[in-house]
Amino acid sequence: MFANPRKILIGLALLAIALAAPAFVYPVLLMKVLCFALFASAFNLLLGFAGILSFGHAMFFGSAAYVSAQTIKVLGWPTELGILAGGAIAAVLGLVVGALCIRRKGIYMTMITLAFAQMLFFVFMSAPFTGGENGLQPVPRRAILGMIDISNDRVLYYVVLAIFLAGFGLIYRVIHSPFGQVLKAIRDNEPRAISLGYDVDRFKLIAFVLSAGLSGIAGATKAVIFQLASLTDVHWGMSGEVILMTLVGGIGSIFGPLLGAAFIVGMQNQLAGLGEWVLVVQGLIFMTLVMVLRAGIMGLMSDLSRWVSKLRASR
Amino acid sequence: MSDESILETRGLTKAFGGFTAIKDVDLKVRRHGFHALIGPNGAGKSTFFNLITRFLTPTEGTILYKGQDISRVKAARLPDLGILRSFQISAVFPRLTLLENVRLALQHGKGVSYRFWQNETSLNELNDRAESLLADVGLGGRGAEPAGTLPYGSKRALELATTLAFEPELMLLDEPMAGLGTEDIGRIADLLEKASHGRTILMVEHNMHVVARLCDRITVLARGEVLAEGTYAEVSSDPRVIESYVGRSDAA
Ligand SMILES: Nc1ncnc2c1ncn2[C@@H]1O[C@H](COP(=O)(O)OP(=O)(O)OP(=O)(O)O)[C@@H](O)[C@H]1O
Ligand SMILES: [Mg+2]
Repeated sequence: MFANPRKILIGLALLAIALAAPAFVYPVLLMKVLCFALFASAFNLLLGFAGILSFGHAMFFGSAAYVSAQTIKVLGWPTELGILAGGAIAAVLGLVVGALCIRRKGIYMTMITLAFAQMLFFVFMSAPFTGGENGLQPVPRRAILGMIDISNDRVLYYVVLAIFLAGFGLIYRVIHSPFGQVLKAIRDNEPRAISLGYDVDRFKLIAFVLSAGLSGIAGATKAVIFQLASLTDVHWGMSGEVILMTLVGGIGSIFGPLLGAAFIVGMQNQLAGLGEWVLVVQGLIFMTLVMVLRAGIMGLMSDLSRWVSKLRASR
Repeated sequence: MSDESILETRGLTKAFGGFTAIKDVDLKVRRHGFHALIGPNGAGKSTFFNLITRFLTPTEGTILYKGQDISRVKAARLPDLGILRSFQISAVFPRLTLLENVRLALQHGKGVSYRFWQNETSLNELNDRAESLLADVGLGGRGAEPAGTLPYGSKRALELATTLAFEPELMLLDEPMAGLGTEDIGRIADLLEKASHGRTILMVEHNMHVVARLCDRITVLARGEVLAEGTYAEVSSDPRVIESYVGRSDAA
């Protein structure tokens, strides 16, 4: 699986593109894509591989953004510690929310995640330490490990790329681990997994905590990039956005969420000039995509590659 | 030794709201026996099954396995005790390959299943064993295929391979022949006969030819109660049993 030379080549090509990208595209936009790609991949670990639909993932993303902003700006912590603290708090929050929701089934589980997220939203809205409507800003960009100066967007881009690769690498490994095998089994047939001796709730809870923690790393990094943590980050709209990214990219495919995030962030950027109409246009595009591409962009790509190889074979 | 019972229920009762699906059932399954549980549709066979496999919690009564009360043990703990169940509809993991399906049973025994940081290639050492289990049920050399695309009969065979990978002492099968054609029934019955050597099987089954061929003891359940028990010859000539099946459109 790893020794597949074609996969290694594709991986190297993608890496080369990622390294060269800031020469062609505005680095802040690229960093935003990377943050959301990590967020959507963490979300997909739960939806696509454990079959758990959370409608409250903004609480992990947003809480971590506030934690990193607070620790770096107010407490004066180093940037890397602030980001890790954000991830850690999100993971703890994931442990609590996960423990309360995974025993429920289907829509009830989803409603609990939404209820928690709404509760946290109101806490953050009224708490004094979040800066209310203005958010926490500006978060200083303190040098990473005291050495790497990240005040320059291009330098920060490479730091964010490293964070993304580490987070995405962990998700990839989780999916391709003995634990990931059991997770897929639970997604496919839960009663059978139980009857084979797997304590399903524990596997789901671990997946929930991993997903929450990694969503937190994404949110904390976002606060460093934009030097801002705000209510937008914990708003339910953010939970909806990550669902859409995963849906558009392809649920349960490893690279789907990356494409979905790039597509949606890119689209929002392109449509920014339309003002209020963005939402309408965006809505129409989603509807079309979800209706036409049931397996997302990733599904379309695999259909195309199958079609091309069939065409080649028939020659 | 062979008369000793491995599984026993005492006064097992399950009520759903006001409806009692299982009433005061006493049942003994002999060690190394092949025991059938039969009865008309809605008799409570699956409910009884779900009670002893801990997918349902009894309203009253106890379940003894090797003399130990398991009526409050978690379902996921039973395989560790040597008990493995199947389901009325075939239970495979459709998006995993045949090899991965069987490996999931072998993996459990290795105690590595929580290792989310470890590469799954570490499981490859189980491949040979998994392949030979697949070959035993006639699915040799097909390990790389996704389980979801198999025809129903082969899914049943795969499920059996997965179950046997555990080497359970007690196998509980809920209608293993349901939905199978004549050819597949013969094939699965052969496999079950082979699997029954040296272990105990309790099986719910509607197909009387299969029951007559495989089982040495039969319990008839009707409206949640034990109606009769004995060998195939005894049970099939019991007038109460005949009556419970006749007068129903679904007589087996
Ligand atoms: N969860 C439940 N809630 C309420 N009633 C139930 C429940 N499960 C089963 N029953 C009822 O209990 C009775 C026994 O059902 P069960 O599925 O155990 O029958 P069965 O003998 O397995 O039938 P079949 O041969 O059709 O599989 C039926 O009347 C059924 O409607
Ligand atoms: Mg039944």
